Amino acid sequence: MHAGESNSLSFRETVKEEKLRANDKGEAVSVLSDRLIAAWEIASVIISFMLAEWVVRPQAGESKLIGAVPLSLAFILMFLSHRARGLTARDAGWRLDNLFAAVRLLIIPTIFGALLIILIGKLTGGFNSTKPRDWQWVLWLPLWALVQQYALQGFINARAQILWGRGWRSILLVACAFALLHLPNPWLTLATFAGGLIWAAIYQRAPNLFALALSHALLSLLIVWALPASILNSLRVGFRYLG
Amino acid sequence: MDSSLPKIPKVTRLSRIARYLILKSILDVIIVGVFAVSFYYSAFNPHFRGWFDEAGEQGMKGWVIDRSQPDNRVEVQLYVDDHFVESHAADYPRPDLVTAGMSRDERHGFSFNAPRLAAGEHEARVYAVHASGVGARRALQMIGVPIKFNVGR
Repeated sequence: MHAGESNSLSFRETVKEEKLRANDKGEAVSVLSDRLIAAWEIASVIISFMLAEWVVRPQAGESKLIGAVPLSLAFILMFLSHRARGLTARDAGWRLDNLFAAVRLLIIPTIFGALLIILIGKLTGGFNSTKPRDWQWVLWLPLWALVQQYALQGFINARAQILWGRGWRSILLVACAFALLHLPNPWLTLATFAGGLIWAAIYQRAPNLFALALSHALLSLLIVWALPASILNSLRVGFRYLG
Repeated sequence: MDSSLPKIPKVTRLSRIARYLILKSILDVIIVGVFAVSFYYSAFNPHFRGWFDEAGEQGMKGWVIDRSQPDNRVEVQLYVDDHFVESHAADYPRPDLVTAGMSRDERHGFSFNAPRLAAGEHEARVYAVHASGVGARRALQMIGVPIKFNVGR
């Protein structure tokens, strides 16, 4: 009887242990799948932006609507992915409760970036652009900055954190993605890599898209105003930069 | 982040996103395909028909028709030994094109005078010019095959 009881206990223990192992394995597979899917999502969104810049826009000419087709697919994917993951708009950074915290973190890097742009502008004979006088463009700039920050931080940074967690690897991935989308314009690639690093790091500490968009819009406005057109090539990126 | 997730199993959520990604990848491929085909179709006219008949010291002759616009005269360019020589519209009379049913009117031929060339063997090519992208692009499409010819002393 003792032997039987002992056998029975050991059997139960064995089953429990097997179940735990199976659970661990299931969890491990799930984590792996989660990371794979996050990597695929990042790649898919970057591909859409590159398709717009390198394939669709050069062929579509001045028709910006056709260029918006792959971008629309990317934003639909982002929306559906957020929904499928059960994330709220607040999770992505559409929030106001941490606005001042994010602004506080952004002030010094934004001022430093602005001073650097002014210095480069002075050295290269800039400050000739009439673009900042185009009020429609100036009004549109913060909105475009917000859309870019949503894609970059609210989606790519969030998925990069699933892939590699918070820290330098996910920050570097965001910066590289942002710079990649501004190739082959060398100055914009450099500027967006630096901006991408800072904004990604701040988003990981205080995820607020409005504050990031404000910094992005201000620095973009300053870049267009301060740097000479010969350097910026009308902010062209992708295939249109070459033409 | 996980605290706000609804009670849907994680694997189901991931497989749903995977389905979205597969669907988007298919749409991306379709977009690339559509743009590649439409670019090729607009940049290189598939409706050019023609032939480079002869090349020699007497001149270079042939014909070309744009079957999508048969009333238009196609611009042709002559190259000898890979150097541009001359360009003009293919509007030289070729009654044989009408007889053969290739065209309703005969003015689709081209005839170039031979340029001054050094003695020896040379190669002539004739290209039809096709403009696209509201004049932003001009593509050259070879008519017929290159013809080699000799110039005597």
